[in-house]
Amino acid sequence: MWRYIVRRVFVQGIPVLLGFTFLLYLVITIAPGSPVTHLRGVPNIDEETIARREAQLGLNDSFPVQYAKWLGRVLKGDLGLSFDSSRRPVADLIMERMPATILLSLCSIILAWVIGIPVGILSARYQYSALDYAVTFFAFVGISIPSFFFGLLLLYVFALKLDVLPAGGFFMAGEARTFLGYVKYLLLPSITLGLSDIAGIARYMRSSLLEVLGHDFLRTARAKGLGENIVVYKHALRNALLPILTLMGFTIPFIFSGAVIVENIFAWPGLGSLAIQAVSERNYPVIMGINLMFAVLIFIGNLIADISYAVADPRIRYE
Amino acid sequence: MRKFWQRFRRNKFALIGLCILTAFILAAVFAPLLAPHDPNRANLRMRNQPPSREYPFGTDDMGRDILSRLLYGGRISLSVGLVSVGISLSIGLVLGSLAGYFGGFVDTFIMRLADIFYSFPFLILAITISAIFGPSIYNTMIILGVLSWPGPARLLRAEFLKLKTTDFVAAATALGARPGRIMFRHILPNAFSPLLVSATLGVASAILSEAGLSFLGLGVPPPAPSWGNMLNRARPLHILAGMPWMWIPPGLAVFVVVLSINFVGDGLRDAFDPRQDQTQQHD
Amino acid sequence: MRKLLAVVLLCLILSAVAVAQEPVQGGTFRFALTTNPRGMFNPILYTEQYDSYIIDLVYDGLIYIDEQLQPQPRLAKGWEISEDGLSITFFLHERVKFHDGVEVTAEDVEFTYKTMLHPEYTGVRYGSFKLLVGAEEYHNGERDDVPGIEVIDDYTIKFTITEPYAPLVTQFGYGVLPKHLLGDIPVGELEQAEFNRHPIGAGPFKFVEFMTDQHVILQANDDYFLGRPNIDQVVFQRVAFDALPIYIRQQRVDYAEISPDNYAEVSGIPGVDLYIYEELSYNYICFNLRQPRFADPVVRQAITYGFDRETYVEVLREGFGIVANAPIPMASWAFTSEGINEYPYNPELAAQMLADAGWKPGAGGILEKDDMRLEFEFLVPEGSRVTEQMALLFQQNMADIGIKVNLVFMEFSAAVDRVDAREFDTFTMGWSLTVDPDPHGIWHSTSPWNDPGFYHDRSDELIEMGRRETDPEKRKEIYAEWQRIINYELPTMFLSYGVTVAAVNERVQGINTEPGPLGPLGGLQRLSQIWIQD
Repeated sequence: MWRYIVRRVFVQGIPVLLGFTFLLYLVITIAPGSPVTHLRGVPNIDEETIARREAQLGLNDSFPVQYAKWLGRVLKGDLGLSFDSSRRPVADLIMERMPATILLSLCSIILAWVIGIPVGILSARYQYSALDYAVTFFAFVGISIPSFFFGLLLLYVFALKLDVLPAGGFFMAGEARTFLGYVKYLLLPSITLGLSDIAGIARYMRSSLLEVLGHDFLRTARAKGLGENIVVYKHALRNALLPILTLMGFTIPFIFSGAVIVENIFAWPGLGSLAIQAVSERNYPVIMGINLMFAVLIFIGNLIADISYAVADPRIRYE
Repeated sequence: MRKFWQRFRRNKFALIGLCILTAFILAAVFAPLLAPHDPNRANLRMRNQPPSREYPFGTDDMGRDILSRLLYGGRISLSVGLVSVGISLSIGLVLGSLAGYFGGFVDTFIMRLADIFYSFPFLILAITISAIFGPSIYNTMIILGVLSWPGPARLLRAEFLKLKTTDFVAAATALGARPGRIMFRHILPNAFSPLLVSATLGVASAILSEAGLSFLGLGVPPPAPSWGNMLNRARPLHILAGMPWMWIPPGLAVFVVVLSINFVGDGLRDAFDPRQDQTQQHD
Repeated sequence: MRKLLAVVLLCLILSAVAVAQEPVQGGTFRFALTTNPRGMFNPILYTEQYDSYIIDLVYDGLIYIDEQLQPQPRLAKGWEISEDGLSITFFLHERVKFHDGVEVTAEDVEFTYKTMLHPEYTGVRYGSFKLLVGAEEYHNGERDDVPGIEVIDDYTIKFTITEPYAPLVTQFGYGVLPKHLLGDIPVGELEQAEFNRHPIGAGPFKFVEFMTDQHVILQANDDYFLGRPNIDQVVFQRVAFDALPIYIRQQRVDYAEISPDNYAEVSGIPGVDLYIYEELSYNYICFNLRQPRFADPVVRQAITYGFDRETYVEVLREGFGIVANAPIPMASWAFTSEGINEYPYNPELAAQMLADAGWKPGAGGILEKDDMRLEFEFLVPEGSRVTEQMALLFQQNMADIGIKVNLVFMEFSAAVDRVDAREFDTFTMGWSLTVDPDPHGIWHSTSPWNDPGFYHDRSDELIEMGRRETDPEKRKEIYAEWQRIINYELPTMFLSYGVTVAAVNERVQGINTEPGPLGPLGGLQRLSQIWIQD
């Protein structure tokens, strides 16, 4: 197992991250627009000041040199300084916002699993019943709504009309940080972010369980006179859950991508607005830092999914 | 094929989905005949009009006819879905086949490339690319297509690995069939069903992604209508609350079409997968 | 004038009549921000507007700009300008303290301004002070002192410049930094100082807390030399753009600035007053005069006659705004309407003018002359609904007079890139202006921001005269003549002056209910006098 992990990280992970960062840096440096564009609005600014700024930010170097310098710093554990006026370390900017993004992503994943799996089980258990059709229908509804629009509708109904939940944000200044408060602020964004996953997981669970139920060993179990409930919940479930674990690895990148939009709608203090701001300002170190961070997280997520798959299924052994 | 159609027909949802989808596609194709107005002609004296005889779905904040925009928007949204999946399928088909057939270094290289593309947080890259080339309908298609090729590629590769060891391919090889022939005559047809399923779902998710990009101002640029940018225009709360005719039609269109595609995809999966037959015997 | 009156009337109708009452002590004032500050709370290093809100309250400068846009003394009791207009001496208040209790002296003022000239200074404000005697040599590392900044005693400081510069006084509003806290940090490393995130100034409010992407809290300075503010706390609360109307409606924020695009979402909310005011800004459509087809002013004038700017303002902007015909906004003292052509919408006249100038319909009905063709790209930065509508209207109006406009929507940064490279036919953007009307930065032929490529000898001459002239009346006349030139030449088509809507909760008292260009809070100056009446 350890050998497998080490191999995954060094043989697969490192080259992928190198290729990824190289391509991304290339793309953002050839993109039109410059990191000093916004200085245009400063009164009385002269060209010399802008030229100095460009030199300071290392923009006069060619692309390979810029990338090499960036990579060199990253290997030493330094993500560089943000290009915006605050000139803060990129690592700080990311670490300040990371917890909020992880919290939101985790909540929506948990929500998706806690709702999706039981719903999927029930739907399979009572296949072709009214319940199954209802679940199927609502699952498809969940997959078919653009998340930004669903978020806006939630805001409109729960924040404006019913006035029971806050219209986004994360605690007003001076508000006590109670558990209930967290729930209040997390509810709408994590439902918005988790919606399509709830639906996806319910669907997946249903078909996975149905497939397992058709297997021979369960027929044997039934033949031995075990009740249908015991067959489903005790024997089939364990086997049906396996493929769902790989699904987790797959959903992680989508959760992070989705978080960018959801955080924007709900003013969630995570990485989403930083990411969008950084792209529109051509803030290279921040764009690179966030993407690297996400790429690493996605890689780890996949690794964990694969390992848990191996742990759960004794037939799989990674060499 | 007939058996396939019988199985497909048994799934009521899938059948309904197929009908709805066909209707939407026809409406989009014949939009110029069906649309009562020029979708881009602004009429500032008729802004924000609720549905009426003249404007069956009302007008938007530029006084443009929403029905006409919906029909033309369908052309754009559907073609964004279809073309981008076409792109990702083509790339995925070629690279996946190469990786699966040749194995070894080629396989490693292509699969690492797939991992790289897979690691890109989709939206961030989409934002950046759309900034480079300027947002346009074609760039939206290319972005969505190029970023999602690893899916079909992996699928195809897996199918290759599975079939490579089977008897009939081994037999074909033994009989001296050339590699290209083996690929096209024996393996691709077998990979057809999972690819088709994943393609239908790809179309659905591309339509949703276009809507998401529109939200960030990076989808199909104005004034051309797409369902995504029509929805985005309805964002202000006073429109959401007071002028539902601006968002219900495009919202419902996205929803119904994506829903139908999903139903069809689901029906295809069931119809292609004979194991489902066994499962159903227990009920 | 008619339109100015309309705006004033609108303000009167929309503003509640303030009842004269005794100020109440205490309470929290919540200011909504849709973009969060960067956390560079240093007056000589920040570049973002949102950071400036905090800076304006935490620091005091030598002067401040009042609601009539005139410089007024603040940390300085007053100032004296020499006869030749080349030097200015400020006399500081005594016993004014920074928030840490240390007294503000002329040394701190010297430190603040000298740092902006330092060779290693990383900020962007050097350009505003390079006229100081010795500044350039000091900046280039050729000398160690700046003779143009002279500390006379603890409470007196004198600045000398190399040539007369009319806007001089307005440049001294930068918050004064505490030398005792920053003096030992190398200037090149100042931008990394922890101080920037926990600023200490001499202003009416003390900095308490900055939570990234959430809020900034400031607290009344009990020892403020002009008296403690009435309110206890100012909170800048970050709010999602889409949710702002909900926050206003639910009275979770007391004050929000919104674009007129969103007016409909906030009008008619009980307990909330809306104030509309004209900002020091305008938007425009810029022609690329480097292209022969735009070289003739008649073409520019005809296009302007042919564009229905009244509809743009009255319908698309819902009446928020005033059609602009020259680059100095109505809110400025230098504005003139005398001899200014208003170019009212007149497509027939536009077509006639073009025909008289020799343009004839060619292929597709598009006007042609020699080898020039009136079909061009119109670059539009994305993001604003009204701008998008304006572009569509422009396209339709131009089609009516035989001009084909191809819309190119682009992300803002990318659009600026094209403009900077001069790779455009026409584009639309806006300018925010300084308090002083000096147009040198945008319109002088040597300016890097002269995007249209406008070179006009008399215009340059007037701009230079206006900078040197210290007599306000004469200066006004110079700028009046200059505006008439621009109004005739139209290197850019002016669309409208900027307008902002402020939504203010009724419980906030002591605001300006007939706001000038700085809004109901007078910049943020009034925050030290307003009170909350629950």
